[in-house]
Amino acid sequence: MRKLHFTHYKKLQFDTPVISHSFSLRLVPHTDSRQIICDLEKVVSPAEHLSDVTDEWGTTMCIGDCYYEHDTFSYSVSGIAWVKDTPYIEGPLHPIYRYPSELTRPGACIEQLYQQADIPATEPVERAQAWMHLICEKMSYEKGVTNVTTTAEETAALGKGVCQDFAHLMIALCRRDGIPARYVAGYLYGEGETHAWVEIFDSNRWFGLDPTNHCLVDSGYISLTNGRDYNDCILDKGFFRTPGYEIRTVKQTQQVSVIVKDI
Amino acid sequence: MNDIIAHGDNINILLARYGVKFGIYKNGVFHEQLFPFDPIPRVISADDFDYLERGLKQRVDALNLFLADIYNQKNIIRDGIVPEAFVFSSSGYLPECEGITPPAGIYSHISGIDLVQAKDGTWYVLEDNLRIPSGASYPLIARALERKASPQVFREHPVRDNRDYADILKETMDNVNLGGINVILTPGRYNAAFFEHSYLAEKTESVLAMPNDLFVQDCKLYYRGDHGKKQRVGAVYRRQSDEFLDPCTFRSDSLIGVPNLMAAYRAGNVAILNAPGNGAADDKGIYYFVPKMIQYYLHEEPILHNAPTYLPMYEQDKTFVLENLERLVLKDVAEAGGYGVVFGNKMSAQELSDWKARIQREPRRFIAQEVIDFRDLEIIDEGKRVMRKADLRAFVLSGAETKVWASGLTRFSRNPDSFIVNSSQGGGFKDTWVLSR
Repeated sequence: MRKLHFTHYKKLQFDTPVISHSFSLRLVPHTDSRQIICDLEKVVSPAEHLSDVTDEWGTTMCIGDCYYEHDTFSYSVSGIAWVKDTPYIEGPLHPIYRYPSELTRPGACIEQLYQQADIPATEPVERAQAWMHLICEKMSYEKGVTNVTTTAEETAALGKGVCQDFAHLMIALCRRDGIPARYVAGYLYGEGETHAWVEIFDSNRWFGLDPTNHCLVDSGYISLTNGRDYNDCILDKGFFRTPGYEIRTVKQTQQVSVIVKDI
Repeated sequence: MNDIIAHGDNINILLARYGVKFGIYKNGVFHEQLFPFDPIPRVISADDFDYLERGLKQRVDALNLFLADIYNQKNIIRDGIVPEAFVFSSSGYLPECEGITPPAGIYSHISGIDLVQAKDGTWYVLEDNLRIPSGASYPLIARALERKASPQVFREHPVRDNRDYADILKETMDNVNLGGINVILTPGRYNAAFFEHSYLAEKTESVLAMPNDLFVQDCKLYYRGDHGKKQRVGAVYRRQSDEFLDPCTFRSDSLIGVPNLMAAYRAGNVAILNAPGNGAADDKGIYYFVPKMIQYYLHEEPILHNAPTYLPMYEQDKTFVLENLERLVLKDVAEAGGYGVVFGNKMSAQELSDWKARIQREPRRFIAQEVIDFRDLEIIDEGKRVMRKADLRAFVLSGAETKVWASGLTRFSRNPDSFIVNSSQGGGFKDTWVLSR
C-alpha cells in the first residue's frame, strides 16, 4: 500500500459581507476496500454550528451555518490515505447507475459515437477501456470551454473539455452500452485541484478508469465521493444573503489547492 | 336541499370574500381565480362509501409499503413484479431518499386518490396523488357555509359531518411529530393553493411558515418566531414539491427551500409530510402496478378497479395502443394537473400519426387508457340544470391507522365537451355528501 498525505484547502472571498450562510460540504474521504483514511483533520471557518451527517451513499457531509456578517469562507481538510495499487473497489451496485442522469443523458452526438464504434470485446471491463480509448482519441483537454452545467451530449458535440466532461461522456457511453457507471470526485497525486474519474461495475466490483489521463486508477487516486454525475458530487454548496433589504449581487473569488504527496 | 341551491350565489360571494381562490400559471404569469362552487352536492350512499373506504385504505396501505420497499430492500423489483426501469428511471424516484425510514414508516400521510364512477355505477381509480395533493379545504369551507345557509338541511338529511378533517390531519401530524411544533410550510402566496395552506394551518393549530421562517441548526429544524425566539419543529407538512425543498440536496437554484432540511430529516429529527421521494409511487406508469402491489404486499385481492391501462413499453400493449389510439386516452407520465393528457378521438389523422411516432420513440413516457364513460353530475349553469363530467378526489390520511375522510372534493368540468376536471384547468367544485345510512 502506498502512504499519501493529502491537504485540500479552499477559500471563498465575497466582495460584500454576507449573512445567514448555510452550507453542506463533502470533504472527507472514507475508508473502503481500496483506501484506508486516517489522521483526519478538518477546519471550517467561520462556522457557528457544525455537524457531521452521512449521506445516502455513505459519504460524510459536514453541514453548518454562520449567521453573522462575514466576507470570507474557508475550509481545509488533511489526512493520511493508505491506497492499494488496484483499480478495483468492492461494493454493491445500486440500479440507478444503469440509467441516464441529468448530465449524462445521451443525445444525437453520443448516439452517433455509440453506433459508429466497433468494439469486439465482450467483457464489461474491456469494453469500458475501449470506450476510454475512443474518448481519448476524439476529445482534447481544454480549460474554459465548458462549465459545471455542461452535459455529456454538449461535450461530445464540442470535442473538448476538462476531467468532469471526459468523465460524463464516458459514463454516458458506458450506460448506453449497458455497463453501470458512476462518477467519482477525489484527489489525484500530482494534481493541484480536485479530480474526477469513472468507475464501472462488473461482477460485484467497481473498476476505476480515468479517461482524462487515459489510464486505470492506481494508488495515486484518493476517492472522496461518488454519484450519478457531477451534480451528486458537488463538494461544497452554500446559501447566503446580504444584510438589509436592498437587492445586491455578491461576487465571489475562490482559491483552491490540493496537495497529495508521498510520506 | 333546495334551500342550499337557492343560496348558491351567496355562498359563492362569501367564498370570494374569504379568499377561497385557486392560482393558475399561464405562460409564466400568475392568475388567481375563484374556484366556482356548485350548490348541488354530490351524494354518495353509505354502502358506496363503505366500499370505497375499504378499497382506499387497502390501496394507500399498499402504496406505503411499496415506497418503504423501493427505498430499502427493493424486494418487489427482485421478485420481478415491477420492472426496475419503471422505478429508477422515473423522475419521482429520488436517490437522496435511499435508506431513509421516515418516522413510523409512513411515506404518504395525506393521499389524494382520484376516482370516477362509470355509468354502470362501477368506481375506477384514475390517479394516486401522493406528493402534495390539494383540495380538502374547499369542501370543508363550503360545508360550513352551507350549514349557515340552511342548518335545516343537515337536520333532515343523514349527511356525515366532514368537519373532522382538521382533527384527523392534526392526529396524522402528531403521530409522526418528533418533538416540537407542527408547521405547515407554504412556498408563499403565489402558490396555487395558498388559501388552503393558511386555512389548514388555522384549523389544525399549526404554524403557517414561509421558507425563510425555518432553519436547520445542528441537524434540527427550527421555526424563527417573533422577537427571534426559536422553536423546535417536530413535523413539517410541506406544501412545496421535493425538488425545491432543500437547495443543499435538490435543486440548488431553489429560493423557496430550507437549506439542510434533508440532513435533519435523515438524522431522524423531523418528520416531513408527505415524505420526499413519494413521486416514485404516483408516477402514471407505476399506477398500472398498484393492483399487483396489493396482491404482493397484502396478499389480498384489490377492492378498487384501475381504469383499463396499457403500457407501451410492453410490446403487446404497444401494438394494441398503436392500433386503437383513436379510442384511447394518452397520458404523459411526467405531467400532472391535467396537462399532458390527449384524447385519441380528438386527433386529426396527422396528429394520430405524430403521436404514434412519439409512442414508438419513447414508449416508457406514455400510458394509454380506455376512456371511461363516466356518470355525469347535475350542475347549475346560468340558472339552468345541465349535466357535466365530474370526478372525486378522496382524501386518505395515514396516521396511527389509515382513515378515509367522509367527504372529498368533487370537481367538474365547466366545458360540456371536456373530460378533464382538474382545478388547474379552470373547473369548478361541489360539496361531497356521504350519507350515514
